[in-house]
Amino acid sequence: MAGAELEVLSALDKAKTQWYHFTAIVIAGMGFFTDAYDLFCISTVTKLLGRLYYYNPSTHKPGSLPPNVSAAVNGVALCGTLAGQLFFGWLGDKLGRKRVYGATLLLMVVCSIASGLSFGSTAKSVMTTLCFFRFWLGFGIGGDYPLSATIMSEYANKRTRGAFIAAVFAMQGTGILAGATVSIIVSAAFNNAYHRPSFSEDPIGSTPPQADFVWRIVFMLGAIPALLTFYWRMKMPETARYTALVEGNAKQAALDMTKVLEVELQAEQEKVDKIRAADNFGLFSMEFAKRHGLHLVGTCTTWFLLDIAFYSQNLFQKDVLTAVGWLPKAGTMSALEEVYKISRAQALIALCSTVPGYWFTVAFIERMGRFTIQLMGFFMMTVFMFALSIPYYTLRDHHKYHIVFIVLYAFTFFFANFGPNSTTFIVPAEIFPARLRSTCHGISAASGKAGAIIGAFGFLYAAQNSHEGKQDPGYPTGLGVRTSLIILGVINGLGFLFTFLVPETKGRSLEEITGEDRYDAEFAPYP
Amino acid sequence: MATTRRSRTRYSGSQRSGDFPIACAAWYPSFPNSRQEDLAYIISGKVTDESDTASTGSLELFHYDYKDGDLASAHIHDVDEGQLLQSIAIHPKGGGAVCSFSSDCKLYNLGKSSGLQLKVSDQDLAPLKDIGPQMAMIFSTDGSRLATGGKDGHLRVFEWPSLTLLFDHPDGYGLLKSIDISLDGAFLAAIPATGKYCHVWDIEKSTIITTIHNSNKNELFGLCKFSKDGTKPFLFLTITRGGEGSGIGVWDMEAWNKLGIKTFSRDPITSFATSHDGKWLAIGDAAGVIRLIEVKKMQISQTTTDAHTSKVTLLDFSPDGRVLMSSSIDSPLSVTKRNLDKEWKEWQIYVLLLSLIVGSAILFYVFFQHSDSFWNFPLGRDQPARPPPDAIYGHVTDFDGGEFM
Repeated sequence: MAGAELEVLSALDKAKTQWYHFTAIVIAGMGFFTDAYDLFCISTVTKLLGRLYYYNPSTHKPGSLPPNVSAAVNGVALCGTLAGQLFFGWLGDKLGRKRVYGATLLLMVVCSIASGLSFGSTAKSVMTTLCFFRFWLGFGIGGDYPLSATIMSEYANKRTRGAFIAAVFAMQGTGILAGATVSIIVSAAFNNAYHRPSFSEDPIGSTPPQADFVWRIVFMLGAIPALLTFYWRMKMPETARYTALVEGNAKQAALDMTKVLEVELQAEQEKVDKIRAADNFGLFSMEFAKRHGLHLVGTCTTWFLLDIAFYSQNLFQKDVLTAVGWLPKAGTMSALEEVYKISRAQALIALCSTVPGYWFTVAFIERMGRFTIQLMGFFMMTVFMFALSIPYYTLRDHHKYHIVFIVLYAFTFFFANFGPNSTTFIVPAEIFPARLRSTCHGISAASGKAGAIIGAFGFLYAAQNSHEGKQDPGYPTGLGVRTSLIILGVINGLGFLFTFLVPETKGRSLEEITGEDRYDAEFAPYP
Repeated sequence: MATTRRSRTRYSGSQRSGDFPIACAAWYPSFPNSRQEDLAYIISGKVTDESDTASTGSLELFHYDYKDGDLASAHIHDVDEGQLLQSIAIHPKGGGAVCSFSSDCKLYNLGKSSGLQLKVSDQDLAPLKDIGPQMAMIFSTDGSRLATGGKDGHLRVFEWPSLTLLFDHPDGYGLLKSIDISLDGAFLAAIPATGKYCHVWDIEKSTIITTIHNSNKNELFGLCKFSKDGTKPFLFLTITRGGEGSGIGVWDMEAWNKLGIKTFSRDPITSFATSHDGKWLAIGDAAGVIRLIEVKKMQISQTTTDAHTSKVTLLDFSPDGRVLMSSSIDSPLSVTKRNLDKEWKEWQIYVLLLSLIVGSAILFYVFFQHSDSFWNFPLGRDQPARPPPDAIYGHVTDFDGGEFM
């Protein structure tokens, strides 16, 4: 009788744990969801901004943002993210991370709403205030990113840590999808209410004045996930956890404690001195360079290279898709139709490739290991990128090959997420010694953001048509889409090569990986 | 490079004078919605009448004001129980105070509804009623577990508030001197009165994880406390070594190896407390000296010598860690202020952030005035922020249904 009762209790316990883990994933992941939504939603509305504020009757083309403006609008949030990561990282150490939650999320909510309410009397005031608020929105996002990562650690347990982290990170894919979906819904609703002819039929009439509301609403709706994140985080029970045990810092904590206690036997004095000497390498010491220097180079370069490819593609998908012909030429659509078609195309790509990529990582990361997944990811990205860039003109010019192009393009995203995008986030948290772990993770993340900024700006210029006259107004001639895609393929290939600098972490204890277990062999613990 | 602050502070606290000693006392956690940051509450059990056969006592409620720091006038309520309070455990989230008397266990609530008075709760404490007086009671950090150690050495862990018995060890380990639950509620440590060893159990599995023994005959364990800091998984045991002084020993929580010991006092340590954030320890010794220790460096940061003259029987950090309550036989209930470093307060972050934002707004405004060449608007500097007027006024389609008109 008692036995049966105990069985029931333990089954309930297990069920409770699974449900608890699910809610923990959603709550911890809401931060990432919000970040992805905010960073991504700009890409669906930049064309609309061009039509609204840059219409030049003499060009006979729909207005479009000049290169520097487009780069500014797309990139300012990324710059804010970089600044925010540094500022809140420093502040978090001083104050304790929990106190910083309120500040970052409040900033994000206020700036989402404010960017939608950008001062509107002249075009210049709109664009300037938009950039101002997008910068501070990025600042809040940058501060929130490491907090989300910390919450993840507090809720994971040792066994399922890899899969848990991957699942939380997958909320980013959901955020991208949500951004595209919201754009679809808003633009379709407005298009329905204010239907207009296409640009070629009626240049001025194709842009209703109400189109101005569309981009503002899309931005303002970004405040909702931020508020949800705030609410859920406040409601989350305080987990009392030995995070040191979860993150594998217990040995480091024990070593630090040993150093400040008294030595009981004289014979131990030498050992303690050795521990003190050996353990004391800082970030800029020879010791670190010898043991982890190549690892740091590996994590930084792979994250950097990945983000160049990932962000350039995410933000400029529509240019590629237009060049290929999957999106109709701008002149054949009205303003709202264009937003609708762009968002729909981006939602489809996200749904069919980005989001599944994340979930495949969740499923396979513990079985295949981070190293294999990252290698495979980069390799496939290189293969697919070359596969679609080398026969680019054939694929582009023949209508029947459009599907092939889209499929190949989608596969590169799939393998970006079932691959380096997820692993470059997880690995730095596992291979560096505990004391330097957050610093090294921060450096790798910052180099990733640098790659994102380069990708965002660089692709914009590089992808312009190389024939004079065919590029978008205001841009210099570039290398053309085909050459840019080939360059991206080469970058992915470099990422593949640099991955060999990073060690495999699956199945090995954290102490083995960081080399801290050498202490065990040489310095037995006190009796 | 750390400087040791061995400040011998002048006694900067307050005392409550009384004829009779305090049996035990604890801080009541502040109300979550309370706006008054400068008030806190203490519940203590006072001995009102001592005789050889039986002692009687009462419960007292004190209201401590951080600004005045005066306990003498702080007594606000008295509950005459007629029996002596053996031990008290206060729920960390304000769920009440469980008080164990010589023949009974009761739960008291303190709340606005009871008008800042101690009121016996209606909650049924049936499982606790017949187990006799409990010498030590403690809640886990999240308030979901209550561990009790009886006079007969019977150790129990209940789930709270359902009071389901999770862990039951009737074997007499002798009088239990000290028990503690780990931060994550997984382990229970207990030291018997003999002080010869310390047991650690896994609460869920009800199995013994390890038994820590004295390393030599002279050593005796006193009190146990798990670290309450999530980044430092340790078990602290106070150790008294005859002749060599007493100190705190540290054990790690994975292999339960002794990491070392640090001596703090010449006299035996008689009471031990950790702060709620786990960053500080407080020890009181038989000479009445209270020492505050920073866990990170295991160094004494504050020493108070004039609060008590006899052995310190009780130590408790206030919930926010600003003051430390202590008691001894001769001078019941004193509160010592702590010398804390100035920390960044929350409003200071907001001020910093706001000033950064205002600064950047000014920069953006300057940019705004000079940025025509950057933006390159087709219609020049004052291009209106909307499509040309034709789009608004010039088309029949404008006047279909669905417009603002």
